Amino acid sequence: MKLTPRLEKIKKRLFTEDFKDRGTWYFDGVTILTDDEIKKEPLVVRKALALEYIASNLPAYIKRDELIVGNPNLNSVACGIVLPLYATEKELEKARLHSLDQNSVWGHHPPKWNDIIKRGLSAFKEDVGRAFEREYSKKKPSEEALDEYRAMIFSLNAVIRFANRHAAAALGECKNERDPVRKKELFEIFKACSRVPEHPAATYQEALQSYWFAYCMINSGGEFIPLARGDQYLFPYFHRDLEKGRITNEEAIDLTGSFLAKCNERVLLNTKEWENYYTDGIFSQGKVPDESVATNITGGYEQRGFTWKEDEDINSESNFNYGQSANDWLMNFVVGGLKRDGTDGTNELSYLIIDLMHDMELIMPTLAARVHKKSPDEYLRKIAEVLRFGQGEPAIYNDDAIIPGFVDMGVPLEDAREYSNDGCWEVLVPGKSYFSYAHVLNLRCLEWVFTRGKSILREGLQEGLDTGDPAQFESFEEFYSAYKKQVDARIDFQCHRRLENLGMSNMIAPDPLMSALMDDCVKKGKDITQDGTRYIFQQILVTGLSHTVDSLAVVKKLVYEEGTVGMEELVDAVTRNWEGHTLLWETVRNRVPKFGNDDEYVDDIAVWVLEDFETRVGEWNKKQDKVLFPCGIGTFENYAFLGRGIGASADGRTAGDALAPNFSPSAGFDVKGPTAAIKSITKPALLKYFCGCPLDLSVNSNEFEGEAGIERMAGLIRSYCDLGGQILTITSCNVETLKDAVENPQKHQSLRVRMGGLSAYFVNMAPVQQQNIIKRFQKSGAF
Amino acid sequence: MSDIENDQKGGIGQERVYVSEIQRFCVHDGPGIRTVVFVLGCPLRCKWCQNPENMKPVPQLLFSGGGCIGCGACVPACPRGANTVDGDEHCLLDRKACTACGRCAEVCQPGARKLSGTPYTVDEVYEEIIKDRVVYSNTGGGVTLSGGEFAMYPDFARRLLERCKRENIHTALETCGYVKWEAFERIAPYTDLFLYDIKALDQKTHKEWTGVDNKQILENLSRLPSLGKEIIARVPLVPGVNDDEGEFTGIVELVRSLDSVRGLHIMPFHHIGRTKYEMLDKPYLVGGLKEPDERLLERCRDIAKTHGLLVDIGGSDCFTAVEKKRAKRDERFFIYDF
Repeated sequence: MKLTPRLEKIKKRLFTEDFKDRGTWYFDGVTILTDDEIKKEPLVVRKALALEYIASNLPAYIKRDELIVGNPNLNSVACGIVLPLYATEKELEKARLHSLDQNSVWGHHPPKWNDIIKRGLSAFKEDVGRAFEREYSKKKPSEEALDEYRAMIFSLNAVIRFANRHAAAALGECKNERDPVRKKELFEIFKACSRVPEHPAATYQEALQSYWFAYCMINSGGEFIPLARGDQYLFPYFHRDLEKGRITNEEAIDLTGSFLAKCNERVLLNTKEWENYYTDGIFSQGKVPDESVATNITGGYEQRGFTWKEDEDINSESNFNYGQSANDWLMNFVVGGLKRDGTDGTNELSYLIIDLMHDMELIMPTLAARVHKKSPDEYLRKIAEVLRFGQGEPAIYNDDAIIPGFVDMGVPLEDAREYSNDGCWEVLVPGKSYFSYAHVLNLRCLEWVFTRGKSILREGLQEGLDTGDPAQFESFEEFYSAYKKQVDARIDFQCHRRLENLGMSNMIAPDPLMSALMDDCVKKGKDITQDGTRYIFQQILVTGLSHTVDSLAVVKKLVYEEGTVGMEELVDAVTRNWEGHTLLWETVRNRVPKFGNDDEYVDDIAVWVLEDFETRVGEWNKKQDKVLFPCGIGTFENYAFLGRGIGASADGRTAGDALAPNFSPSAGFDVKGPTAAIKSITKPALLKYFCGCPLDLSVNSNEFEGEAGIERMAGLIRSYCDLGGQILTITSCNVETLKDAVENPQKHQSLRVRMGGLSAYFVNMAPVQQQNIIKRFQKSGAF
Repeated sequence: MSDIENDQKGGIGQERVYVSEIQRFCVHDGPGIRTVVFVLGCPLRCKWCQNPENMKPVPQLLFSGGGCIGCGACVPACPRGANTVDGDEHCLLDRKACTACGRCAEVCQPGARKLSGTPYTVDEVYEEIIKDRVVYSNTGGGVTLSGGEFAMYPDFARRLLERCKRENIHTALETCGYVKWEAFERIAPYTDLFLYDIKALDQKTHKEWTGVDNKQILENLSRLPSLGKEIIARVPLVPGVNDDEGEFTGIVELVRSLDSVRGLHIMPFHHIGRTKYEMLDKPYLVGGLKEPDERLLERCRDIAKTHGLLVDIGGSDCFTAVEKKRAKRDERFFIYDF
């Protein structure tokens, strides 16, 4: 698709201006605790007043080419959040003991976007008002609920105030505008901003504007939230306006592109220029004060508050993971998929958004495409067409595998069909869910079996259980049961902690705005940080799966079946990071089957590992009814961090190395290609892992050229779904990967190059040939 | 050739064939995503061959010096004493003493030595092929027999392909054409697509570069349409062999004269196979050849197009099934024409 002149201009602005602009972080050092009247208010109301302050003081301005307006405050997953101070020193001090602060709003879960657009915030205010009256008329009304309701109303008003300030700005510019075309556009912007999100959207422009204003305010309040199923929410307006001739095709494209551009304006291409406002409270759900930090890692967010250090090595603590998630707001957007009634929801807007994301070369919102058996071929082809060029977007979500998982958990079918993803990739029911997760580091559990619970890298710190001297285990079953004991203990620990922490962040970081926009919070008079929402999902994640499975295969085959390696030798090798064990290192790497190659020997081990994991987590679902604990397999983007604390593993991975991402086979060992990898990961039943177990595939872009390439890519996606795969990302190979393969061949052993009749592994080739191939890719990606 | 066909050692050629690799997820050997079976043994000796380990009908030892850690495990493993350790760094292989029995490969922990060629029965090959059945049905892919020259084992090929056709798997044969006509007759009933190599029309050139003359190849090609299967001609574009305009145009005209051939794959020569020669300790005879540049490829594409052929460089496109889908797609009507 050729971009319209307006979108060309906006794209140019993004890349030449916005992406280079460091921007301004507002409200650093600002307090709203200016008088006694405010100080006397309960915390949740003060949070709402802080939102009001943000809404009144964030600059309201209109960029020269845009049709959708409004700019949230600067923030980013890696670089932090800034909120005006609304908590007292005493409150903050107490929160700090629990690793919490004002920024401990969790994000991840989308509000009821559809209702915001369709009903308008005035309807939400009425709902809250009615609930308030109902509570107030009770004999003993809950003070807490009444405070929450008051805070909700203030917060909803804040969003409306933010919109109205933009209406005023647009009208102001309109008066001074000489160009009659732009003058008319500004007037339309003025009209939209005066109506939404307060009132129901009447046009496509209003629907987009309503969506965006609500996003701006929720996000500026500290929540990193996804946009959920935008094509579903927006399509009725898009369709009606086009059908009635209210807008032309080009205007529809312009409006859509203008909206998507808004999601990207805060991107800063040189991540080293991001200012850093990271605090310990971000992405914390709190903990009881006496826990040791070392064993309680949730997910690698602890490692984000870094500033690039020029004088340090690229692999130093500050630098090794630097920039990860700097340009990230957990801003997912889902297209396609089944509707509530079970019919296919793919619409023209689904296609248009995929096209625009690709043609405007945008990174936000992170795009996902839901597919199912009845998804149109044309839609699959559209996805395939875009994926061939290697950006890895959209990610594929298989409705036929995911929806039954929700239903199995007890979520009604209609709600299950409404699923979208959260900020990362896990699935939830938008507008009805509180979502969080916890890692169980399976690979570290395995380390503890070798070391009797002591950490290899943290100087023998007793972190896990002492499951006895592994050299005394007489069979693989005995060894495996020790591993299982370690894992079970961690599952219990994490589930227990999730229950214990539930509602803890409410002491400092309630969010009355999000709460007003979520199902059941209003009805219950509770905040989202309490147990206000209809569903509370706490996903328990298998972490480091491929390494765990491959290591277990080494133990099973070499130690117990062949008896060629002694347990003491293996323990010595992993604790000494293979030093003095070169030959053994070669053996474990090259002579034992590896997960991801459609090899029954090792894939069966994956089946056991996952079955045992889901069984234990399942027990926690039976034990209590507060929280739903779905399973998942994942590292998110934190695989480097997560591996850093784990010593060498028996599969040949060296100490501190990054883990394989998510459900993917270990890098370099999936030598049978993508179809074998897909077969391996779909060997275990994934029903209980519906909440997220993505396979990240890397393919060579030269394998998907031309018309036939689109068919191949589309067919590969269909195959993944037919086999029961759940989430799939496909990244086509690029020059950078090839160059890295030259530097670090061990990480890219499976990278294949195919030139006509020849097929060879890239890393096996002579340096000059490697350079030749790099040149080929640089040229055109073609032969 | 008859020597090879009559090699009855362990039923080789009949019950079993030596397979160097069964490679999944292939996209340059027919429509969709395919599994390619590489068999050992080829009647040609093309100097530019990219799979030299498949030329001889018996297993070959591949030795990648770079992967060797000099551990010396291969020294006692060899019954003929072909291996020695050079200092602490590297093991050496005396090719003259080596019979490619593969025992050193079994003990080589880093995998620097590999015996290329394992005997497979029809059932065993089929077991590997069906692993990607779901992918074939979703992409219109299937199996391609390659090598070496699979048509040298027509009975084995026939039984294997018949097995695949029974399960509705698309089948293709990649062939150099230098086999008895009867071989094609045997295989054709279960073959959907022939990928037929044409290297050169000039007799002398052909003999010089491939070791054989092209009479049989061209004769087979002229009869192939009578079997009623889809045929795509493939030209490995090699400088000095077929890259001058006259020779290339001649090939194109020949292809065009065959009624049922519509597609032409141009496979540009490249040097990437060189590593394999090193691993076999074989002299690489084409080191001085220049890889075809973009301009030459474009010119060849134009020539083929002008003659009314569907043409693809690299060999991943222009299959009947895909063309049909494309035509159907263009007929589709969109509500909003973005």
